[in-house]
Parts: sequence; C-alpha cells; structure tokens
Amino acid sequence: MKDKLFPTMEVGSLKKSPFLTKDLERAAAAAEVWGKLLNVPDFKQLVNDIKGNLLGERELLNWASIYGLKFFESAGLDVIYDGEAKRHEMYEHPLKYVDGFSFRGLVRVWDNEYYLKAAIVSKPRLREPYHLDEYLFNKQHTTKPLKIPVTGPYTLADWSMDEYYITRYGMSDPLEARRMAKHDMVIELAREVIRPTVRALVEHGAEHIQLDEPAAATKPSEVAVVVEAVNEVLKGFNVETTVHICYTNYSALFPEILEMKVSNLSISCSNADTTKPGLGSESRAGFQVVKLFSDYKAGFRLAPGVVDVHTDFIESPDLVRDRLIYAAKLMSDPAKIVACNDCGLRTRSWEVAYEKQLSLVRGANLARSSLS
Amino acid sequence: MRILGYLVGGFSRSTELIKHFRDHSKGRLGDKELEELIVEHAKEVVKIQQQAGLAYITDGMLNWPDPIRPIFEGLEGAEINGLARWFDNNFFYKKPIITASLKRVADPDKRYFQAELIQRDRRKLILPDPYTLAKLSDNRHYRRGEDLVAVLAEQIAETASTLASDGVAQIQLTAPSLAASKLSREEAEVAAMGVDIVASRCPRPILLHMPYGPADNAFPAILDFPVDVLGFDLTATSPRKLKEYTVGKKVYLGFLDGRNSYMEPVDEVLDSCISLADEMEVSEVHVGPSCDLELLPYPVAVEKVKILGEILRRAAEL
Repeated sequence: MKDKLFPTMEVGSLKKSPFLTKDLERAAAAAEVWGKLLNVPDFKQLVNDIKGNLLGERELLNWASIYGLKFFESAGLDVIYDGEAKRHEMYEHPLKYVDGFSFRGLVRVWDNEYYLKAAIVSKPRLREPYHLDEYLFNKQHTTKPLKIPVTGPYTLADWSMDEYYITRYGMSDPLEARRMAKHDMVIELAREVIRPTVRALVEHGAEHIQLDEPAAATKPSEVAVVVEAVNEVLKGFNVETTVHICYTNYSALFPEILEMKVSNLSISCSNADTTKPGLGSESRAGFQVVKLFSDYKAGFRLAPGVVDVHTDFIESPDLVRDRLIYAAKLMSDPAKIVACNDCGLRTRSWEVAYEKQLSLVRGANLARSSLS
Repeated sequence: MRILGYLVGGFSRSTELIKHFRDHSKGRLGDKELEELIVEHAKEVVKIQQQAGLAYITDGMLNWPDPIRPIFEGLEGAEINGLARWFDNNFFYKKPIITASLKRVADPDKRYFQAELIQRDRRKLILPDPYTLAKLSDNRHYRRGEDLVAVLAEQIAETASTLASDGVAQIQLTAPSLAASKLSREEAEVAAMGVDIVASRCPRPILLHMPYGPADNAFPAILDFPVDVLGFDLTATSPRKLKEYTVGKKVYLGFLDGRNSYMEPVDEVLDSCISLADEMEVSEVHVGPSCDLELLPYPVAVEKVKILGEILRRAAEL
C-alpha cells in the first residue's frame, strides 16, 4: 500500500450477507448469484447446504465472512476486510467481551432508532481479545492485505455512562469531576481493553489496524483525550494504522489531531460534496476540509471518502478520479492520499455497494494514470 | 432558602413504549391506538414526578420525534431534511431547511402537550428558544438571521399559546445554542429579541435553560434577558463562573447529570446546591437534572427523579 499511488481501501461494514435470510430458496439463490459474481471458492457447497438446511449460525457466519472478503477482493480493492460480517454492531459487540460494563437499557439515537447503552461499573477487564478469531479466519481466506476495524477507546467511553470513575471525584464542581472521570475512563479503556486487543492481533500477524472513533469530535474540549488514547493504544506496534472519524466538524479536531501518531486518517467528504465532475472548488465543496490538514502540515496520509455511503447514487469513475486529484492537489502531494469510502457500506444494498466499489477502484486507476 | 425541583426536558421512553412505536411504524398498530398508549405512558411519567414532589410537572414529551420538529408542523416554507447531531450527544435531530417565508397553514397540534394529565398549578410546557431553533435550521430564505429568529419566535409564541391555552405554571425555553459557543453582543441582542417576542405573548414564569454547554458563553448579556429563571447545566458550567456575576433572577441549577446513570449522593448535591446559591445570593433556588432525561435509559431516568425527590425531601427538613 505504501508504494502505490491512491491505494484503495474500504472502511468496515457491509450490509448483512444476502443469503442470511430465513427463506431458504431466496438464500440459496442469493448465495449462487453472488458466489458466481465474486468468484467465491466452493460456493456451490454453500448453495447445496442452504437448500438442505444443513448449516448452523456459526457456519453461515463463516460463509458470510468469506463472501465479504471476496466482495472487496473481486472489486479490486488493495486493502480489504470481511464487511464485519460476524459483528452485531460496533458498540455492543466489543463490550460483550469486557468485564466492568453493565447494560442499562435503550437510548434513542434518532426518531425510533435506539441503542443498548451500558454503564461502566468497575475497572474494565478484557476477558479475551475479541477480534482475534475473526481475523485468523479471514487471513485463511484471502491473500490480500487485511485492515482490521476496532472500535476506539474514546467512542466506547463516550457512548457509555460512568458509574465508576465519577465516584473518585466530589460533587462540588461536577464539570471538573466529569472531565477528570472521562479522562480516566478513556485512558483505562485504551490500556486495559483496546491495546491488548490490538496487541493480540499484531502478535498473530495483523499488519494494518483501524481504530474507529466516530465520537472523536463530538466534544471539542476532549479531542486531546482522543489523541492521547489513540497513541496509547498504538504505541510501539510496527504496523500500518488508520483512524476513522466520520460525519463531523473536522475543524474541531485541530490542532490536537496533529499529534496523533498514525499512518492514515480516514474521513468522510463525499456526503458533503456535489456529484458534478470537475476540479473546481464549487464542485468539490465536500473536500475543502482537506485543506485544513494541508495547511497544518499533517504528518499522516489522508483517506478522504470519495464514495458517499448514504445514497444509492453510483459515483462514476470520472467523479472518483476528480475527487482524488482535487484532494491530492490540496494536500500538494498525491502520495498523501488514500482512496476510500466515506464510511462503512452497511446502509447500502450489496448491488449498490458493489457498483460503488468498482467505481472506487476504476476511479483510483484513472487518477493514477492521469498523474503518471 | 426556598428550594424547588423539577425536570427540564423530555423523558425517555420505556422499552414497552419503544415497542409500541416500532409496531406503529410497521403498521401493526394504528394511529389512534398509539396515541392512547402514549397517554397511558405519559400518565406514568407524570405520576413519577408527582411522587417525587416536583414543583412543576411535564408530560414527558413522549410523542416528540425530536426536540424541535413539532414547531415546524403546520408551517409552510420549511422542509425537514437529513440528520444532524444534537449538540455534543450521540443523538440526532432532523434539520429544518427554510426555503420560503414561514407561514402557518394549520394550528399547532395540541397532542404535543398532554395538559389534562397535570393539575393546572403544576403544569410545565417546554419549547425551544427562538435563537436555538434558528441556529439549528438551514436558512436558505431569510436574508438576515435576525429575521428568521423573529419569525420563529412568533411561531413558538403561537405554539405556546395553543398548547398552554388551558393554563400552565411554568414555560421553559430550552436554549443550548446560547451556551454552545461564545455569544457576541450582536448575537445576544438577536437572541434576547426572540425571547422577548415569546415572553410578551406567553404566561409567566419563564425559565430559560441552557443545557450541554458552559452558560458563561452567554454572560453577561444573558442576565438581562426578559425571563424569570435562568437555568444552568452544572455538568458543563463551572460554579466558579456563576459566582462571578450577580444574576438578579431565580436560578435553576442542573446538578444531577442528565446523561449519566451514576446516582449522585443526595447530601452532597444538596450541600453543593445550597452553597452555590448562597454565594450567588439568591433566595430561591431550583434544582434538577442538567438536561432532559431522554438520553438515559428509562429505568435510569426514573431513578434520577427519585434522587431529586429525596433531595427535595431533605431540603424540606432543613
């Protein structure tokens, strides 16, 4: 990835595998269609096993991981993963492997959408590194470089409640108590939960770790804690590292973000961009944020999303090319740009997501050719 | 010192009510059935507050899709668009896009305030403040921001008049945008104008509450706003900052963290509250959560109200 101009990588999630449905006929048909399209080895075995209703949940999820890997592999991406096929979601999933949290109930995210929110009630302790089995399985089923997404410590803390650290501080100044307790919680999660998880992956051969921190810019006054925690997790590991922060006010991250010791920062741009091709600043409104990173001379590469994951609009390869060239121009160095999606593709159908990934790869090829 | 306690925002929905909403969205439950179930759950939320001895009681705002959308219902000139983050929370509201002059084409929906569930002298109505509503909108029509604030203030006043037509004991304007960043003199003047429009057409007393942010961002201008009570989120505002000013009004101190399940020690909260009120030289202090309780799971929100009730009970013994 390091030597290639505009290497392509995905961000994480895919929608549930199309064959994971109770209707066996539909499931078998989907397994066949996608198996052929993605060149999945032995897909006929899956089709037959589905028809015979021979598979348990574990086997089906293993197949889902394989289809996820082949999805990105056959689209031609340089760095891939399995679409997080075995994970329920990014918050609840990791907390199931950590002592010290207690789920307290549902909390609204918007309209009728809720998530199960936990409180930290004692010092967190990792029971087992939760992504290791998943990674080892995926490694057996591809020769492509893998990037393992791991929910970051700040996001885990920010989306949780605190019944433990806050007791260390009195009530006379709740603001200060909250600030200190939050710092303790984030750093302890970094040290006790996320770092051991990453260490286990690296010790088993992982070469690229992605920390997902969607909450990073939620509270501008806490960005320094985000950065401290990321550096605490990743320090000393000689691997490629990416931090993913999406749909936020990136200016709130400055200047603290510059201290983050990572290879790449993955950000969303296309959702705020126009779909008009071109290299003008009006057409590329969503990419103006790249200039911030350039002005501050950020030491890491930037992976701007050149594919919007929240619409069914299929970006043309020309549009992807223009977004990449524009971002490279703003950074004054094409080697500092990675071609990426805005975020995970979980909200898109497999059909739409696949077309988008083909465009990502073709657009990056065009960008590469136009600069060579 | 007189100490009153009450809530300053919507209540979270119980697991059962969440299921009713989901069933409704899937067509398994009709509009009328859902409405009736919401009323039943609102009765429970009212009862919880009554049992805790709260001075003012809300209906829990259980049917509000987010804290601002109902204001735009019945208005022409605004579209509701994509999701935007609700201040520094993992909660999102739908952003209003103002595309033409706002014009009312239908009366405000009275179902957004279940006044009949609460005795008149304790009824509390909660609405967004005009400046906050304007800041959270995408203004593509009005040339000047202050014009939008004025128009929205008129609409909030009309909503308040309709929902409070059978009488209320307190109206709250929720104003997180006033505390979200440092307010310039010009911004403060526009915000004050908006509050003044609402205040001139609504019953008193009015509480202006500023959750999620340091209220000193709005100091000193906020002290002259035409309201009866100023509300502070003590998980975001330093008590030191509050002591630097003579407020000259009643104050609401949000000492209970409305976003955390930790149950604050009753005596500590009461001591901190009295001590701060003394230093601020106020003779009447109001106390409660820092913000709405929607950002907590339902059982936790219920516990918070019980804690508040215990604080009030101890205060009464002093």
